[in-house]
Amino acid sequence: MKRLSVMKIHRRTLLTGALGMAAAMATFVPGGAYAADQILKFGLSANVGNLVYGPSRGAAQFIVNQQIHRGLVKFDENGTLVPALAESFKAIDSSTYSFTLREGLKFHDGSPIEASTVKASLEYLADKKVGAAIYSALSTLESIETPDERTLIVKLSKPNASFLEYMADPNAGISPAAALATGAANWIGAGPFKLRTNENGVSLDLVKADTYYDKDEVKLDGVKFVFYPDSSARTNALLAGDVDVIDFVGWEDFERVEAAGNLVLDAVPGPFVYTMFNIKRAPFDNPKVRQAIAHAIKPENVVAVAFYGHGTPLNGIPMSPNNDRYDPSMGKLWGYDPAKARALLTEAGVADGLKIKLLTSSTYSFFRDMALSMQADLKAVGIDAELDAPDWATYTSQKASGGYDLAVGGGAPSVAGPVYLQAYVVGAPASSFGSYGYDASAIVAHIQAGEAQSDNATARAEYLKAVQIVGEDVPFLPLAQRSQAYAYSDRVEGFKNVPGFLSITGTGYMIEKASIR
Amino acid sequence: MGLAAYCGKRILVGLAMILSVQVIIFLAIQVVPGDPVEAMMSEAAHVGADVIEVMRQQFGLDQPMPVRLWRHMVGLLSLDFGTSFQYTQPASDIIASRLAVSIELVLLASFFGIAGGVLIGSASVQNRLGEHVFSFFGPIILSIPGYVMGSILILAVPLSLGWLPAGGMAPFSDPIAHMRALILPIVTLALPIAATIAKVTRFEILEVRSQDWVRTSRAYGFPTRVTFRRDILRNALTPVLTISALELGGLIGATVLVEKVFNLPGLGSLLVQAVNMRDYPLIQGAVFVISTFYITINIVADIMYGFLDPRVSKR
Repeated sequence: MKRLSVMKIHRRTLLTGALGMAAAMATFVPGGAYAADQILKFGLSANVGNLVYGPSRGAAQFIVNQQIHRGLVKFDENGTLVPALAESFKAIDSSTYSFTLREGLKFHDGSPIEASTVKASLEYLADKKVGAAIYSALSTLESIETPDERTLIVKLSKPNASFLEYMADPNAGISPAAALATGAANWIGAGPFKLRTNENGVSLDLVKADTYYDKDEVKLDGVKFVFYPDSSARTNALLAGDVDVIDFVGWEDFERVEAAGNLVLDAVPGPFVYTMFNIKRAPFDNPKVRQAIAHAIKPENVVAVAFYGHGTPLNGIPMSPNNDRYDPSMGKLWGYDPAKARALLTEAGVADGLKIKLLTSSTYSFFRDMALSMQADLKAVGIDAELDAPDWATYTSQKASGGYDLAVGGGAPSVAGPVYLQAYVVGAPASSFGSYGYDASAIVAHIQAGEAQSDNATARAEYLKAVQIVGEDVPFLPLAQRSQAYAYSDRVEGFKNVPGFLSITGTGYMIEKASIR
Repeated sequence: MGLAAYCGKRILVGLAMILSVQVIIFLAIQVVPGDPVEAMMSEAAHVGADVIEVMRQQFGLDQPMPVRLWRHMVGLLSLDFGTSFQYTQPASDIIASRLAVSIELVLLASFFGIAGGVLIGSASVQNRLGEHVFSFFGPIILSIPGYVMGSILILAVPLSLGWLPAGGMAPFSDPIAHMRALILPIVTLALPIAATIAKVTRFEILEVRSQDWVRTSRAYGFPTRVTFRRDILRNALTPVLTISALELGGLIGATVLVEKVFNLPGLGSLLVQAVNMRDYPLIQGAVFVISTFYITINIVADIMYGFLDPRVSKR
């Protein structure tokens, strides 16, 4: 037994040694030595695979796109359109735009960007087969003329007042000819940073591009994107100082971030959540029942339950007050009024024992929580809503085929003007965001009429007609604008969350303005 | 039956199992509701049904199911699972990079878990203190789920003490950062393995120690150390090997919660995400790798019994 105990001591010594080494490694290896090098470490909310040109792959990919690529125009910190590859642009009329490119533009590999390059890019995005994120804006592309190397004249077959906004979309960067093919990798662009290394599924290392037209204004030497798909892992990484910035702070983590003295929580009212109706089935084929729902659901409850109180309740159409075509009455269509809801249900003849199926998804907790909050409010007016909460892919498939009575949905429009409404009012299957089977031709006609106007006041009058129909017919029911937050170390300067819907599509443009103190 | 024939039979059965798993998963994932293009486009801006149809054709989803199954099985011969729908990269490349992380994690966690378990198990038989430590901590460790243990460690080490990163992975090219990133996940995964193995080891040693060949060995006057190593431990380790193989094989796809807590890009989280998005090539590929790993480990364990206990291969 004595020998055994000698062995045991050896083992224990070994173990202690190993633990000691681990502790020593932990203590003596310095972290965060990057500050002096001006490398921004960005904890990103999703893995970004290969960049491909055209299709949208979600908000995290937008942010990476905006570093590698650059379009004709972009958004500034207030969400205003400013020149990018185009040094100037103007609307010749409501369906014709001219762009003048900057001189000497180059892609990261040194190849030149001329009017013909831009023309090829835009024509590629206008091809339906590509499935481009901005296809709806380019589907009306009639012609692109290139009178000289630096001038483009873009003609549309229909007026589109938001055309320029689409040109600032993160998926509308101008790309080289090699990227204009299905599945082709698209890592060479005209943006402020170029790819150095891609650690598949882990991180992306970008360095400042000396080909960028505005390189003198870029203070960072590089950006390192580290993928943190899990929301609390992302917050932990920021709290531990592993990264300098994170996107999409989980609502449950707002207080944790605010409590840390050296962090900034930058939250704005962002994308919105809403309810869809199956118009092809009773009872929601009846506008009175849809109106009843609009009065039965308390948006404040959705904000409290789904977003931990971090959001803005909606009683109408969400829109940024900064937009030139905004009118305050657009946001005042309905209001929480259960008595009125009950009266409307009685009027529609469905006051007693209405049973419906409420579709949500278990993949996102805020989707599930929103449905739970709605379920309680519906119960209060005598509607028995049975929850159907499959995974995301099943949810999208049921939504597209009308396998629901009521469904929750989320919207992150890529433009801030009222034209965004079109995607939400047009019914599925024509638009994947709309209520199943809704015929929106009357609303769309007014929106299109508004888009054709160059004068904001005249345009606004048309939009208000569209919004009035939305108020009466309730093709969809916006419920809350969720708080969309970035969080960053107080050593990061110049970075800012762009308010409104542009939080998703515009904030990526702010990285090139950042620096580390 | 000779050892070679025994091994050959085990390998053939294993191959048949791997192929069956592929067919079953292929059919199962396509039968459940959910469409990859719709799931992917749900994140995109306004996309109509016409665009979705065009993309379905691009992914080959307009082909009848038998045609797709045949293409998949043919591709499998060259380990070509197709192109991931969401990542637009070959599924095999994505899986390879994720597999490296999973294998490293699983092998290191298993090594520390099994070695630690055998040491603790042996020690708990040999002295009082070991026994007390074992009987106090063993059940506690076994009863704490991995994601809770991981969260506690993150709170205690990176967030409170400021040591080690709170999660994430560093490339092999930076070995120190790489190892630092792995310490906490490995501890999280290894602790329950160690507790299980220690329990089995302790039980088996107590069992074997009372056998008559041990008494005979002692009676011959062999040193205790020799008796322990040759007569007790070797015999006690056969069941430990079974449990270890099961732990190791099961771990490769089951580290998903720990991957999530520590933000590690492993195979488990990849598979969960692929299923959510109905990324068929990625699902088939990940399941192929996980099932092959599991089945192989079990074949190796079966063959090792043949060596440790020649009676097994004669049966």
